[in-house]
Amino acid sequence: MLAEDFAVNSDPLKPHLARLVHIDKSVKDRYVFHFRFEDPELNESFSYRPGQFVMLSVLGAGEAPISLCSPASRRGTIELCVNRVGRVTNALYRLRENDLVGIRGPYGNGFPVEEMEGHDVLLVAGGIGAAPIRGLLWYLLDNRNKYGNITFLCGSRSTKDMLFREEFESLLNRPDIRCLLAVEAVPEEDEGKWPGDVGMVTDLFKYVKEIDAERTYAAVCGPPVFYKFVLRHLVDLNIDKDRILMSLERRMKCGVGKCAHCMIGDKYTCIHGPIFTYWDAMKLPEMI
Amino acid sequence: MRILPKKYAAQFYKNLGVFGELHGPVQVKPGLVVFGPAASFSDLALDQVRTLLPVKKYLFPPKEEQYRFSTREGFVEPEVEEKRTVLFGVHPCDINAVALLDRVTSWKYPDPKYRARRQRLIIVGVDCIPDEYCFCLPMGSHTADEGFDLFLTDIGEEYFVQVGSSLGERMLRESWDLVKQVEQEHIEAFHQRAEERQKAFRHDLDAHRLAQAILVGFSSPVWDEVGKKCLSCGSCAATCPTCCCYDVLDEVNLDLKSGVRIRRWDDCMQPEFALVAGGHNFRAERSTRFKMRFMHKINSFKAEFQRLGCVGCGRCIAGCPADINVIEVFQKITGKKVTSVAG
Repeated sequence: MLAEDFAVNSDPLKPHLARLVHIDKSVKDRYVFHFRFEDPELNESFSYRPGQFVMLSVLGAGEAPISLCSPASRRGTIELCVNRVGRVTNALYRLRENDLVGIRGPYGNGFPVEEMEGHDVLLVAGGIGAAPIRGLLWYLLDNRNKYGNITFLCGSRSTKDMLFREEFESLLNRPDIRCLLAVEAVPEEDEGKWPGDVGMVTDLFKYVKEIDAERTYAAVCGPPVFYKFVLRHLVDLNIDKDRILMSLERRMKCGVGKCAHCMIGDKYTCIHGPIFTYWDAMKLPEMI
Repeated sequence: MRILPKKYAAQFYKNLGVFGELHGPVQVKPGLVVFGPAASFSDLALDQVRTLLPVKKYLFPPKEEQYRFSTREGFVEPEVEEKRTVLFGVHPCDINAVALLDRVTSWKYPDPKYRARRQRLIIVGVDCIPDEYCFCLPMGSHTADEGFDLFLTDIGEEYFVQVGSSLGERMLRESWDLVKQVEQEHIEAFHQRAEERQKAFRHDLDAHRLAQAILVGFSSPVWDEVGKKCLSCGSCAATCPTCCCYDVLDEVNLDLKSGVRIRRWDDCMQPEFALVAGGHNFRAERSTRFKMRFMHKINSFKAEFQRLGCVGCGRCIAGCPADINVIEVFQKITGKKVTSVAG
């Protein structure tokens, strides 16, 4: 055994029981699940960085990595926005409030929020990508004096699909953040009620011409096709590839750098990510 | 260091039984050698080059219960077996592989199940003469510097015994009457044996260039060539001494309220290895999966552990039903002449 092993004690693979306390069903198949650990001490001490993820166990169905979308700056309840798409997530949708799940983590690097201090931040979210970006957004707003200008661009297919819609709409009038929202379609019942733009998230870049690229970090998350177009805009804005941060997802079985399912090139998404810079992405094969 | 005359080897082996259940390479049928229980020295097939499965089967079983779970009690570890095993006859490549597994499993988040098993596995190494599939010399794992309790080098009528741990020292003390002091002639014989082993290697490989060559040759036709031959059977990963990727699945009991979480070997050659919910597969092609396997072993291991993750044991070559030869792949990707290999 290696000498550095002496310091080790707890089991990183063991999930802790957590209770489902609330389900926000605003968007179909993209519910936001609120959890609290059964162990009150753990509930109090559980802290994380924006952009980190947890491994969520639905007992009997298995485990899946889910990014934390609640603000790391506010403890007590863990919020996970879960796309209903696979075996574990479908099983989660069958649970009701007060049911128990297993949660372990937090894992991954998270956004480099200390390094970002003193900089302007441009956040860009598309569809389900709003989940990790929302966690970062609230962290920045809760530590508002540490950051420069904050601009938030968020797009989704329709007003009905916009995650955290009410919350994001309330930011439109907040003076310390520039919030720009776009949906591709406004259904009949929302006609006249939608305060944002109609179009793609990339259309919102027409409003962000004046940025100080030298002192700006960009944080982006969305589906693969979204990256293709958004990254082009960010590069056109002259933001250094080292300061364009993106959150990636992969299949994972352990979350702790062992099972190797999440590897991209020579990097583990669970250890070196899930937040990668665009520079990393360009170097790593098969990244997006 | 001590010298063990071969005539006392059987007694020496028997004495090791004090420390745990005796295991070693045993021949189960012609051409098939496995690590398994071996009560006496005569049961051992020490002249055989490689076992079907490497040492990892003792440390990281093909299938194991990870936790029992229920909504009442949450996740609970299964009981730990206290049994110790003395594994005799482990070759340097396999010892180096265990040293690598030790690193992987203690990297960032230590794996308690592996560590518990590792502490109960006693390793007695024995040196060997390579065959046509062996390439441990160019991979730098033809000698073992750590990861064993005792190591025996065959120097003719005697074994040259090295001690690798304090437990190893106790094991040697147990047979103190059988061993003798090392003389200059034994050291000379030790080096002579090393020369003899070295001469038996047939393949020219530049392992130190591999990581760079894989990056430069990322679009090389070599990967497609291999991808066309590969059957995605995963025998290379199953028999690899450093492959430790795994899958996790839950099995539910009939009460529907409790169950067990199972961890089992997985391998990156399977089509669904990088498939995510929703249907996107990051590595749908066999050639990309094969390439990924080596990016992990070469580039990632080098970056994280400052060593390559291939020890050159030759099991993947010996076991491949499609005759894929990794020596050939390594030679081609580094632009070297291919040395033909039988099989």
